Amino acid sequence: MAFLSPVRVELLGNRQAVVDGCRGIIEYSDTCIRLSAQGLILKFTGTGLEIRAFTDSEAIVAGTILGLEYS
Amino acid sequence: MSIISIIRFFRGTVRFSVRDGFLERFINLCAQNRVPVWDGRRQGSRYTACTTLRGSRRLPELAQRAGVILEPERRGGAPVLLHRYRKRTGLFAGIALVAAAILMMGQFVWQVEVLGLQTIPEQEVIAALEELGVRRGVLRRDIDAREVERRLMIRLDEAAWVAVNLRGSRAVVEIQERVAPPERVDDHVPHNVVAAKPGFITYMEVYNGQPTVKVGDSVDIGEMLVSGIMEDKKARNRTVHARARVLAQTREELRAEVPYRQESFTVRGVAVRRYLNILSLQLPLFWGTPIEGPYKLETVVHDIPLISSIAPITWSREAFLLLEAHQTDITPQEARAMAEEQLRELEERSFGDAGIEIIQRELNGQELPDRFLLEGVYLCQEDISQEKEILTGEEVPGLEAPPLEETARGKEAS
Repeated sequence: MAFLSPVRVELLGNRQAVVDGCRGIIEYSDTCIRLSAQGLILKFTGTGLEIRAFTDSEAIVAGTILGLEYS
Repeated sequence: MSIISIIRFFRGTVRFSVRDGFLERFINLCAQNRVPVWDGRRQGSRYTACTTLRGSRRLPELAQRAGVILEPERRGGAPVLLHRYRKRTGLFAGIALVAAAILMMGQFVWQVEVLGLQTIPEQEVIAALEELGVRRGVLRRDIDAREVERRLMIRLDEAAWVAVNLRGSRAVVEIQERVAPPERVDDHVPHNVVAAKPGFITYMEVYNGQPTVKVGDSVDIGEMLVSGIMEDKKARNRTVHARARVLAQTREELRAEVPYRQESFTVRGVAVRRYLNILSLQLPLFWGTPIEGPYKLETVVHDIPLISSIAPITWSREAFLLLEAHQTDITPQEARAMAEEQLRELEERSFGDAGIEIIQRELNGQELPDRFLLEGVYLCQEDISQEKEILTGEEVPGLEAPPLEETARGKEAS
């Protein structure tokens, strides 16, 4: 879908990730957070994961991030 | 404190927690309904976060739709504080008064600062500024800075340029002083060299003019030493600016007196007093009785940081050095020693600064009934030359043009 703006992920080390362009949360737990973005699902895995902030277009995921998968 | 924290404080914040139910659906509903959520923390099944005051009004509805249990915890921020103290009208009136007073005080000049002075006395500049309307307590808009600059330049001859800047409640006046050109000697004006003091000439160095005396002559005060009227080979007179260095032995006298009964002071204590100054009112910040007896006083005025720059409020400190007077009698020998010391200081001031060399010194001491008198007679060597303009067309009392035969004698000397 070329006309959709792409999702932007900024990783600050492995402690915080700022996701710009996400639409909602699919799954939220200590070890796995799945976010839905434009045509993508972002899966963060790790320990002590938290949604530090969430608005209609941005989300901040904090904790010890061990992996990021796109699907 | 970051800018975001300040904005959130003024908008108001609510801290809440939700548990059980569908947490993901709750957060999605918040995002879709533009209810921002931040500072989220998860503790087991409980999720704690913050939102705005406006957003918190929609939380119960969103919590019900998501099937979570909402528990508001804490409200904070400026709107909450204002609501809490809404019946305290005196508080708001006081805040408004202080704000108005600060705004009003800022329209006046409370400090006048002068920079760049080297030889011009600061008091002279401050007095001139006060006459031009720049002083403590004047409205800022009543000061025309460009006009003050122009008028101050006219008043102060020594100023090369002047800048007046109003910075808040401070009037800063910067002055650049003029560099005086060296004094020009006009060689075209005829001068004679005369004796400034009576003396016995020991050395002469004539740079220009016709000498009328020679080494070994005794001269009186005002007597001509070098004439500015010179005769050429064709016996025609011409006038010049005579210049010479004439050393002569002169006689000087100095005296010193020391009474046998001496008054001295010892320090018996120190007292410090502080005042708060509001405009011309001085409020004492101490308890105490008036100072008695002799003392030395030193007063220093200090500005109060931040306050003095927007209001005419300063504080001053008076330090009293309390003294006790004593009278002691000294012997004539001690008085002589003190008189000799005084005479030495007098010699330094009178002769040292003027470049006068002492060749011989004779001291005579007298023991009078109540004091010791020490007189010094000095044989000195100094430059007694003094240039004096030849006033053509006027009779100069005590100074005559040399007759022709004296001019011939002057030729021999040169």
